[in-house]
Amino acid sequence: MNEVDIEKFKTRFAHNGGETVICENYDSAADCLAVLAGRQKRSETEGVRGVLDSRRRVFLSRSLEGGLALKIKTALGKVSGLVFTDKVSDEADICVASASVLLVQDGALIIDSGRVAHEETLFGDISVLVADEEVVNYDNMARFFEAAAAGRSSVRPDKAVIIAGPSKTADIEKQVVQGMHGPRKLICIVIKNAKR
Amino acid sequence: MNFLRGGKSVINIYDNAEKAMANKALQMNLKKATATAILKRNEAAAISETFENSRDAAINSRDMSIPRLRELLDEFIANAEKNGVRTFVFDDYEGVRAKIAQIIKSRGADFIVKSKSMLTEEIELNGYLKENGIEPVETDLGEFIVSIAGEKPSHLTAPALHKSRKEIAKLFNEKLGMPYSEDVEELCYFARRYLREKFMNAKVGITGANFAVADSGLVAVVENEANARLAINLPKTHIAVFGVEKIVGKLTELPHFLNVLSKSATGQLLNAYTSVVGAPDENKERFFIIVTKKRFEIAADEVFSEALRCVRCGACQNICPVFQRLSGHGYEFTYAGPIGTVLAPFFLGYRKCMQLIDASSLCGFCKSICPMKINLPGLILEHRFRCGADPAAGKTLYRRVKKIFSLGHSLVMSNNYLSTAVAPLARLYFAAARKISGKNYIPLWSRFSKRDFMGLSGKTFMERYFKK
Repeated sequence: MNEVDIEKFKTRFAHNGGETVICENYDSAADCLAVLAGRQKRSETEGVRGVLDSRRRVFLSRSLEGGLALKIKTALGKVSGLVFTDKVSDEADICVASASVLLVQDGALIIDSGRVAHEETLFGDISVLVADEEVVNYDNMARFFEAAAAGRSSVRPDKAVIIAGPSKTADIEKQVVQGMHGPRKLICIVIKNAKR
Repeated sequence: MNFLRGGKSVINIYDNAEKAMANKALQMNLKKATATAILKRNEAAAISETFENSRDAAINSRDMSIPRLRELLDEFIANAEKNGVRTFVFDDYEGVRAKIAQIIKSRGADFIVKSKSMLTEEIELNGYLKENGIEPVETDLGEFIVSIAGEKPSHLTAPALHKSRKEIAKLFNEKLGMPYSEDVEELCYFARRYLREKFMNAKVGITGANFAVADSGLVAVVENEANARLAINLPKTHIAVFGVEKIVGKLTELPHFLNVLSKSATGQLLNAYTSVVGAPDENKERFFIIVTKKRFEIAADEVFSEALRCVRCGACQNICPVFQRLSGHGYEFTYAGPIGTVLAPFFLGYRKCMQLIDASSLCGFCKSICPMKINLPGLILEHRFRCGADPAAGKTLYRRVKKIFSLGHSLVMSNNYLSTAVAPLARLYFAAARKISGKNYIPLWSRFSKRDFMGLSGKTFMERYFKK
């Protein structure tokens, strides 16, 4: 992906309520995640799940490429008070999974529910989706569905979940509240050089 | 005097409007909510490079698919069944409700989790399930609020639009035992915790579908809260209920609809979650239940078939000056606003809707904002013509008096000599009426309009022009 596309994605993803962190490589992505995990304070999450304990739990999806998962684990190992959990549930503070498709114009990501279990992007307080070099940039939905209809897409259409922002509602006096039923925050870590 | 307006069997827009206008809190909520929605819609439409193209493509797609609806339905069913989804088609509400209840009961469930679906409102599913010992748990926050309040949704995309945070705080306190708080975040997170337990234990999840794709047998469900994703994926059984008009021909047409819907409904570039649903996961099952009631009749109507283009975004409601004051409940029909006014006579008949079709200023705002460019004012006008010819509605006193007023008005206003002759008489009459009653009194006027008659100017334009 070129710089222009990354910037456009960042702006549009923000419009939809998501945050983008741009990293040069796997190492810096792991470091970014460690910083992110370190800065999350319990008080921020209390509103969503009630007071639990002071430890922060991180869930790493099996969809993450082996090398990246290892790097993230190593980097997060340096952060005090972090615990890895194998079970994805509301107990997890941060759930990290991989995105399969980037839609730059729409400011959205597509996850492959064949690789990433739905719970991995529905539970937990913060959902982190990693768009690494395996991610395919289709620019917009129309291109993705064209490819899907022709059987050329990287994700089967019936396994596609388009995610464009955190769970939110504006049902009470139009005030936007994030984390209505799903994650309160959605962060996309874009690792540069993602192939088109 | 109610008989003058068609009796009790008619949707009484006049009384509903009076009640709504008297509710200051409702008026404030409506004003704020509709204004925000329009602002956000315009902003999102301006940012997007593809909005206008998608709009045209979506219209084109719908215009191609509406005449082929029966054919597309067959294609959709064949492909969905191929994907392992069991499909059922019903033309009557009773059939749909009974089938859903039978599926739920046979799975041993005594409650279900449900995401927002206007079709389930249309078929009055919740009441039916309750009567059959099944608790329907609404999980969309707005629907959850109106369901515990025992009310109906008042907007297509914002069901609790009519309720203020104070009312919701009181409701949660009284019905759910939440400590009283008017903090919107606290109210939302309380509902989240309450509903999460239901999701985790539900055996059956029911959702609607925003679109269904004939060539692949898939449905797309669009949402922001993630409750539909939970309802689709956590329970073992998923049922999607939707109208046949949701079917589009090809998968490549789907993104155009998603594009226009997200911007027009909530002013987002894209909704937070779009799930494309097909084959059920391992050890799970999925049902698609399709309702055809009245849809084929509308599709076959040369004038009204364009109403089936509707993507239920609610933009026409947000911009409508009548809806902005009347609110959704005033329409007494599942679908409110201009699109509701267009659809209602098909479902309820002209007799019941004869006031409803008058509840439009025909200003045309709805047509301009509608992403599918439905000629809503034109269709409402067409209903007025057809209503006059309808045997049950056309001969009622209400329509006849309206017709006499209209004919008299057009006769006078289309004839220069007549209007010039009548104007001084009318001015004399109103001068006398103002002296006696203090207003521009016309006999029976208040039975037909809640607005005061404006009266006539002291002098005509021509009189003032020549005097100058």
